[in-house]
Amino acid sequence: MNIIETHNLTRRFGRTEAVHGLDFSLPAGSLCALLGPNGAGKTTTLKLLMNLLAPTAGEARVLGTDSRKLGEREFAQIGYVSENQQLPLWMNVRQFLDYCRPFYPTWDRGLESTLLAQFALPENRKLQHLSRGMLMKAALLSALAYRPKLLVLDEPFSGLDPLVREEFVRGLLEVSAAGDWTVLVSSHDIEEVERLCDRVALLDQGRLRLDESADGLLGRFRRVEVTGASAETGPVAGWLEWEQAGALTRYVDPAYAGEASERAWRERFPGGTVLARPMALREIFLTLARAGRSETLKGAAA
Amino acid sequence: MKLIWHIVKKDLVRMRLPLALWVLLMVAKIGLGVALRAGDGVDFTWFGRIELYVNLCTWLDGLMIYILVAVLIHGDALVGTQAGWKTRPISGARLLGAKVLGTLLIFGVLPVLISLPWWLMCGFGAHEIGEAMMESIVWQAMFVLPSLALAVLSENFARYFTLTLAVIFVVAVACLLQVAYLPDLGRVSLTVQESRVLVVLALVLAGLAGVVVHQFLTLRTWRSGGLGLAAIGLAMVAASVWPWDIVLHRMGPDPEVARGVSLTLERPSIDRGPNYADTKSIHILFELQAHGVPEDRVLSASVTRLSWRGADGAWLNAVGWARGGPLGLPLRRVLQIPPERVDEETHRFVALRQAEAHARDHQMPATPPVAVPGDAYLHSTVTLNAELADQLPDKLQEGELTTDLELDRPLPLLDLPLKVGLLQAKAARSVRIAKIDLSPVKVWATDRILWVVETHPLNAARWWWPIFRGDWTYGIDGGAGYWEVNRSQGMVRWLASMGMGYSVAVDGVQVTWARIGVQAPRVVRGGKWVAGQPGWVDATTLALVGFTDAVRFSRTLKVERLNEPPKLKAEPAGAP
Repeated sequence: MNIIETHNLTRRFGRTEAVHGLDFSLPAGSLCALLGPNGAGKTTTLKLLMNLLAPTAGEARVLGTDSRKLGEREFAQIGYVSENQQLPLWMNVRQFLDYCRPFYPTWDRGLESTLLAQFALPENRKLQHLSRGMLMKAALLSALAYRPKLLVLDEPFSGLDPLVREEFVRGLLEVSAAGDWTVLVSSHDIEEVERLCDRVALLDQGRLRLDESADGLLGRFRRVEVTGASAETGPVAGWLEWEQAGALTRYVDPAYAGEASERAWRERFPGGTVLARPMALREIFLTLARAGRSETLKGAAA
Repeated sequence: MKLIWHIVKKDLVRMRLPLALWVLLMVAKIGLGVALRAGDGVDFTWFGRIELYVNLCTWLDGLMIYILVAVLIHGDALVGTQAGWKTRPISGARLLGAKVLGTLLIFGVLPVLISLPWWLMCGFGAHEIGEAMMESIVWQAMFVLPSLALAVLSENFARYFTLTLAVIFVVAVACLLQVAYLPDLGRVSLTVQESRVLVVLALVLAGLAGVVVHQFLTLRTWRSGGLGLAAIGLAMVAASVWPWDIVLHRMGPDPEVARGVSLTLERPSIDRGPNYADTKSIHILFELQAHGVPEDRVLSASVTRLSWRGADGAWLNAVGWARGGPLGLPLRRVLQIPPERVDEETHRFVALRQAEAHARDHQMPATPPVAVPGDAYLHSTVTLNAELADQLPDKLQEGELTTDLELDRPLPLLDLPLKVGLLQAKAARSVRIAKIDLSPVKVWATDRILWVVETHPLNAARWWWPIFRGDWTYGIDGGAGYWEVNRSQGMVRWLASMGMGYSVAVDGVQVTWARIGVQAPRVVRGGKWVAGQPGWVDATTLALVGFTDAVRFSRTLKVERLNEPPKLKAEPAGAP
């Protein structure tokens, strides 16, 4: 069963199309990272999913309900944490939790206490006096304590120092291990989401560039370096970041398929030494982002 | 409901500081009222200063309401994508319920609770407290409703303030356009004009409520704003062109007690008045004689309407005021005053002087010459502007004069001996004579001036609501008045209406410092005025009389012709 499904989801602001024809689905139990450069449409997509914005065209279904009709029943099962979300800063942490609790029938006081201790949140300090990291942890705590079926995090790591990020991710992982839930995280911080997520979706200029499992993505991207041979006809279609300097050729093959790919490389670069190494998610993201930008530039030039 | 209350509690805790400030402001205002009530009644400069502070508090109150509403609504903003409640299990309807309940508690219950001790201190009973509560709620609503509509369409105070300025600008421009293109109101009947006021009020209220409810339930800001603008536009159109009379029950069938009352028209005449050269407006004076007034009732008049067909055959309307004559026997009965002892020499002297004045000035006497016991004289005046005056023919075709009348039973409230410091209270009114002094005006050396401190219910709702129902008689003599009573002489003399003086409204209570002149009895001996009663101060009381059992009805008379006065007192140069 898909927890999130979008069909041709589109949102325009005036002449700017922030999200374009997004077709995306997130199965139950997935932990998905929504990646993309600034202005890719990540936050807009999440706001469309949370009914904070109305789609210009298309539709989104969240927990089986049209996102425009999300109501109390659905939001009781959704946790949403965003860097832009307004929190009642005049409350202290205890008052904030006391305020949120009655709205959720599934609120777990035990989990609340555990997370409170784990996040080391000072109960009697007002939210407005908390550091940014503490504030995000308080928001996360208020979104985790009722064990939501869907957790949506919008740039949760932005502006957090490494220590707080670590605590934040650890908290998520621990709760995640104990529960059956679906998580959708939008972020720039690829290293952090790489640890969290088993699925990656890449948005660029409002379009979905890829959507697949993290293992599949890491498995099919290889950075290839060939020495001592020269290509006869240039890069194969689909290869990215093609560079050639004398006898040295570099490129990224986004369709690595083990032995078959290696055989094809050797045939293409006869007499050369081919060295292929796996890429980290961050490298893949940068490669795809650069490719997307150059496509855009080409499109603009055309 | 539990969750609604949960949100309300959160809002109340969040707003505790601004609320405390507002409460302080209200308490301070009441404190000023208490100070005025206990004041010396003489230092009118001090009264003026306190009145200034009271008025300042009143407008600060309005400003605070404007700010508090924004704080209440923006705590869970409806506009924008950042409000936390939008991704919590809180529906728009539930939030609306919470905000409405919060609004009622803050702006309805809280001011009433704060004012309650003040009302009780001023002797208010359940009825007066109910009225004062209504007034308080209407006052708050005047600020709360527009503020609510603006707050739900904005996400922060800067936007709220900008939107307020924009709406004020739009409404001002719309009003100017409306005035510029307004059809001639003189061609519209009074009842239709009143109907338009009602329709405009209803449209504005419905528009404001519609904006708030729609925005909470849909979060579609532009559509909600459009709804508000549409309501304003409709209200403007209705104010200009609404054609139907929806003022119901203007005057129902005559009540039993009024069936025998009739009017006859004694002397209709035209008076150009001293400013005719400038204004070209004229006054039409009607002197009416009432017949069949029950002996225990007082007849008073309020509005009079003259309708006639103009030269082009169209109906023309003009509204004027009517005033009642002496109260006659009913007052004597309730105050237990024996018949007046008529001094023959004095009576002859006064009658002669009045006749001389009448012959000299060709004017109607200021008061009716003789009061027939139980009946009453009424004066009615209709003022026509130059345009209407031009269309007034010598002989009116189908001219009609309709006068709204009221029969009341006099109700003695207080009867104070002329002694300083004694406070009497009854029926939510309190009176204290703060000082008694010789009159500074040396007309008669033994006349006295009373400095009176009084409180009475403001009764604004009671005045305005019936007027909007089209029953103008309510707006006239609903209040009580002071009478000088000297039973040993059989004398009763009108002094002043209650509330006439230096007066200020403090949370539903009108506090007034009045200066009232009391006349010593005098008689004519050998053509000269002399003292009529030594020790008259001890024999005189200050009676406060109200009215009860009001019965309202109207009478219509045919007016066929108007008499110009034989000679105008001061014919202005160039007058036709």
